Amino acid sequence: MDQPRPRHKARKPLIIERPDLQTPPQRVMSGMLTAAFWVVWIYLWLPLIAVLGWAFGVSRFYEEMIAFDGYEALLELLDVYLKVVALLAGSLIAWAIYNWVRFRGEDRRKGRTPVTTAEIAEYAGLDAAQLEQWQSAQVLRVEHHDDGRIAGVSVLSPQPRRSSGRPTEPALQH
Amino acid sequence: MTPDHSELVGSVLAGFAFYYPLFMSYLWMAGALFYWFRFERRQGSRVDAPPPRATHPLVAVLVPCHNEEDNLLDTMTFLSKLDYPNYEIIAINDGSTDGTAALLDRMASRYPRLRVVHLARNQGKAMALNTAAKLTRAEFLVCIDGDALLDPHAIHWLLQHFEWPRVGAVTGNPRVRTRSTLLGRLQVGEFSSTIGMIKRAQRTYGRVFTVSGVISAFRRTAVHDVGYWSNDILTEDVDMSWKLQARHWDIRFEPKALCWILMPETFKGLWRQRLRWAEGGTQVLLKQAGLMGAWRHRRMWPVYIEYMTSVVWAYTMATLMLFWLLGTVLGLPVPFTVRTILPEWTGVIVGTTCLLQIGIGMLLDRGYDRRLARHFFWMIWYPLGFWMLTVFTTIVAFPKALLRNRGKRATWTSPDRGIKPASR
Repeated sequence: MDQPRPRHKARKPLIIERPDLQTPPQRVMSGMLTAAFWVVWIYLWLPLIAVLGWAFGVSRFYEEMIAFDGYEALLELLDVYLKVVALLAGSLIAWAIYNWVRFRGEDRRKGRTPVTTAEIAEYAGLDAAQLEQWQSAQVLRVEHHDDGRIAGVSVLSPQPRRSSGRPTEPALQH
Repeated sequence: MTPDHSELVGSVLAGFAFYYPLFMSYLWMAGALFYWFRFERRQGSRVDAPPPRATHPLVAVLVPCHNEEDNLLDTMTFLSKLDYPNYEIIAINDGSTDGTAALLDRMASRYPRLRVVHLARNQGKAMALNTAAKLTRAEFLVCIDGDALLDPHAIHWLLQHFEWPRVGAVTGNPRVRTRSTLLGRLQVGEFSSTIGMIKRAQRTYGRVFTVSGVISAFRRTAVHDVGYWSNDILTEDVDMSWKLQARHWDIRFEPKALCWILMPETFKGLWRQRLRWAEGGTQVLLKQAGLMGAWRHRRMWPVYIEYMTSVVWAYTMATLMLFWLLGTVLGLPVPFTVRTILPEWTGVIVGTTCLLQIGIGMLLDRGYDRRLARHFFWMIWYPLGFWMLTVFTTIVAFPKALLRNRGKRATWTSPDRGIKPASR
């Protein structure tokens, strides 16, 4: 590359994993909340635990089984769920394959020729020659009208220096 | 209502509340796995080995900055090392009140590729992008946030899709850097198991709800064609996605175009961010309601209906929780009864489904983020915690979006960017 190497590395690591920067109550709170959620999760799994318990002859789970209609209810539910899931997923994938086969190698709609600076200038109510100059300037200041149109542009620094000289103080400052 | 009817209403609502996310989850999983099988698998999982290119058109990386003094050095360091021979960086200082302006001016003399556009007043992200898109000669614009770190190979990965002439935008794969707190870690998992998975599934279908504003590439001709970014929408990325697709520009997803981002790590920060997402999304869908009546836009209908159904779902969930609390817990008279909010076997299935979706999401992204799997442990929280967040942000955001003035300028608020060590 034709540019100077930056003189600094990223000052912070890519992944910032610093739980120690939290206050102790915050850390305790996260731990407690996560523990609470594991309990909720286990509660969701109670019927399954009940089936396992029953299967392995732990008799006190029997009442749980009655309450939940036993594993037959699960099998019935699974049967219905599997059909619905197969229908939904099958439709999506069939649709994707249909489109893939139908539009393979052809674009129904044609591309456009790239928009030109003149067209952009016309759209934005700017002078095309001026816009072209601004497009290569390095530092610019832009004023806008209240409705969002560009009201004026001033060039603060015209061309990027391509030499790899030492960093210098900027010529213009705000 | 008679007791029979009241039971029926209760069970219909409860059925919708449970089955909608359950079956959508399997739809996302199936779509994402198909996407991986059909597209992603072929190019391997090595992010640092993009396919070679014959030509290298000029690319402009647009970086809107509002008070980014603390993050710009990192952002620019990454941008100066992109593995692409022909690019310029345009940093747009959007009326910052901190040292951003002076810092950018100093950087401009250090980095020849860097161009700086100072906006005289704070105009908002959409205006910053609109201005920079006109002030470059580049046909391809890669837009990132001022606090985001772009992977060196991202341009290569994004650009390959523009070989197809009708591709107007490509959205990259944001990875969360802030992993100190529970909320941070949950979002690490969320970006794979929900955001990345839904993007893949939507690409399998053929239309997407939104690009990720923090990392997406655009064909300028397409952006020009749809009249640039709208400055009155809170989520300019959702808006641009709908405008492009309404004009039949295609939007792709590129999971190997990585961008490392900072996310909120406080409840307040997260709430504000998600409320903005929900309000912005609703704003766009209200604005684009006309698509639903036009046959030529029929391919957008399922995406539209899915979003609107999820709004209805949020209100249904809230109603159920309220009536369960009032009727079943407190014993007060309510119009219908909610027997339980955690039904028997359905609970087992919902629980298993959540873990499965999270697991598949992480599996699909694990090649791009090596330390992803360890966050599975924390994700136990995600289904309930973030569903609640979705419910409440949607409920607050929907009326806000309905009542918001059309044309009111959307400008920056300083976001929560997670927990960071001191700079030096």
